[in-house]
Amino acid sequence: MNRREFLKATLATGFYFAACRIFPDALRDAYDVGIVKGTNYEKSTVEAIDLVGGIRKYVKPGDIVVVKPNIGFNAPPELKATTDPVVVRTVVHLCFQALASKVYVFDRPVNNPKLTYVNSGIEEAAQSAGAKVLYVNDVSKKLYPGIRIGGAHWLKETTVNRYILESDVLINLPVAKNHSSAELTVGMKNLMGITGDQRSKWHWELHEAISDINLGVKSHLTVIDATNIMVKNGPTGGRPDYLKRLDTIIASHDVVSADAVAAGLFGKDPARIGYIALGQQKGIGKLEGFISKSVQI
Amino acid sequence: MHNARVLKIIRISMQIAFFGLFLWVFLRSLNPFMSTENPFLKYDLLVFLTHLNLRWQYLLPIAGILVLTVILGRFFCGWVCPLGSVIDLMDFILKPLRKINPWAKYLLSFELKLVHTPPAWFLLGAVVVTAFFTPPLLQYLHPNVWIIRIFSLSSLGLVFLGLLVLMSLHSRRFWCITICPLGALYGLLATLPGLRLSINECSACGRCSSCPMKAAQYRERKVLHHQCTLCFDFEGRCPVKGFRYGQTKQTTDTIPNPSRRRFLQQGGILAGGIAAGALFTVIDTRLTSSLVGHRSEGSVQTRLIRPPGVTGVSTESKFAERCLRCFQCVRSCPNEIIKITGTGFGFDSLFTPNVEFDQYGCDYNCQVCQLVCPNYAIPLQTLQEKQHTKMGLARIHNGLCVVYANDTNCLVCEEVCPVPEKAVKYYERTKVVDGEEVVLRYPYVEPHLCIGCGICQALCPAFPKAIVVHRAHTA
Repeated sequence: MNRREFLKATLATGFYFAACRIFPDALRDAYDVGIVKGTNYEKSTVEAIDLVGGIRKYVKPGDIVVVKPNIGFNAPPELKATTDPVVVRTVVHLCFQALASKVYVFDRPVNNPKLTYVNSGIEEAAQSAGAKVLYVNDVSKKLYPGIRIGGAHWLKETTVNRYILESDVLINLPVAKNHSSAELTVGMKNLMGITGDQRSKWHWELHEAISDINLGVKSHLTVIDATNIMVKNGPTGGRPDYLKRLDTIIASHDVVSADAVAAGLFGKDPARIGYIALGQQKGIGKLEGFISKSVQI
Repeated sequence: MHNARVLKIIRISMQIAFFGLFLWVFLRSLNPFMSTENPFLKYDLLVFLTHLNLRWQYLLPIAGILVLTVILGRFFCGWVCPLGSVIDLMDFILKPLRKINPWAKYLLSFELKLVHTPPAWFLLGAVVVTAFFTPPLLQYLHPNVWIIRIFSLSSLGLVFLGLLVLMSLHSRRFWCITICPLGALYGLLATLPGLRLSINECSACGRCSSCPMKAAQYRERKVLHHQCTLCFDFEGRCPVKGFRYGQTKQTTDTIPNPSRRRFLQQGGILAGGIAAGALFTVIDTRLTSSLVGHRSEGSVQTRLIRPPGVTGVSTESKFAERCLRCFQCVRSCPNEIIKITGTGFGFDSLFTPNVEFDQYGCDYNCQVCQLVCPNYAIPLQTLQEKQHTKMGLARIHNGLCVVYANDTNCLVCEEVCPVPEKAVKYYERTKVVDGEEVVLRYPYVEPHLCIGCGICQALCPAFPKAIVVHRAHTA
């Protein structure tokens, strides 16, 4: 290498780093949060996950994946009390494309599991994509071993589903809804479905409990279904006119950032929502200062 | 008769087919997405007679069974009845046991006396009369009710199965001959002229006394039409092939003549049943009216919560009257919240379904119990109607609720309330707790919105439950 080539290379490297500083968005291959608007939810989901690095960044070949949608309440899918089956199916598809060895789909519903899984359309969607759907009827010690959460303030010990503890990747697939006592139920709140505890009692210290369970169990990828958000009388909903159509899918590796973006869609300040603020305090993720990218398709 | 073997094979395959139909319907009813009404109870002549479901969908099949019974004889018991098939199936085990049963001989002579004038007729009369009033005796005697109870593995059904085994240990179809009122009804129809079995030739060998219904009376050279279930089992037994299935002759060539006295006895026992049933109803009505007020007003006071639709659309007395206590709803409820009422709630409520909300609530989008009820005791509504029908009313006990008593935010009841407008609402108050100002959200129930589904009660974290659904008394 002669001097001219050396100078060229040095300058080019310098320009590259300077450009990274000045135009951070244009040159990144992965963002912290990807927001995709579009009526084709299947495409939107794929695009949103691609924005945050693609599914192969999260799911390595041979991994056991747990996809945890929100199947909390027995309601037809058009009332949006549950995650859109199309989003669930797409994510399961992507996991298998990334050569996941097994994909489990389950939740611990508030209502009857059988009715809820079938009526939400998620059972059929997940099974059609090849995932194994688990019914959670009992909360025995065998299925829900106890864990200790280091650094927790309120929920120091809890029980978590065995399949989640034994999995390599947890994909959190919430639906964005209004919630009376937690204000919003999005990604962090969705993890209440992995426990075998008596969740009603968590409501006595809800924000602490939600942030503590997120401290204990990390969602590696969060994909929020904000296609048709429930703005009133959540989380059960029950009327189409409580919904607001946004056609948005949010993906992030950081559940707190994803929730903060979703809170913005509801017109709320994420720092004022207890568990999101606590999530930042406890070091689960970033409430602000993340780099997001919006795409319209 | 040369083609009796063919008829016997057809009979057995029909029994298998109808028992398979029963099993298929029963297994389907366990899945909340495939629930089917039980056709054996829905299109039942006795249930129709006692409850008069005047819908054309019912009338056609029931009229069909009626006409077929008059033409063919008491075919239902031997060809269709699932309980009869169970009894026949059990006989593979019980037949060898019966041979060593020392009591069978004595009971046989007793049974042979009962064959002509079975007490089932008495029960039939009583059942038909009492059915117009609550509570119907039918529920304790109807074979198609019992078979559902047996297959739902309820303790009552298993006790009955034990009794059935005891009866069959003495004689195979003891239940059908002496007790079953449905069989008695078909037997009564079979006494009318039509195609019947008769003895043409007889060598008095007595082999036909193995008849499970004890219908073949070789000494009198006649077949008791009200007992013969057309099983065509005599083939291969009668050495002279003397049985003939065809049109009954009115001529009395049987020896000796059917006595007039027996006819009077038969009529008398039926009338006696009717009289006893009527007497029972009168006493029952008097007794209960002195206890809870006049019944016909539909204001029977009970604190039991009924399955959805009963308290809103129907009335308690109508429910107690129509409910066959078949336990189908108990078995089908996906949340298993429908329980069987035991003693302590009056004779009217004995074995009726009632709802308990300690584990689960009544799902907002589920109406399985309404779909499976064969007699519409739980009225069949559309899902929208069901979602607006009150089962009861939730009440918050301020002394137990953690928000009121412990100044802790909770609001689970509001969160899980499935009513779109939220029947549990809340108001906010700022309160100083331990020197710190907190915003407390106090829940309260909106009575005109609450449907009493009990989901809030099932999930209330307080112990004992701070929100409890009570039966809403409309009267």
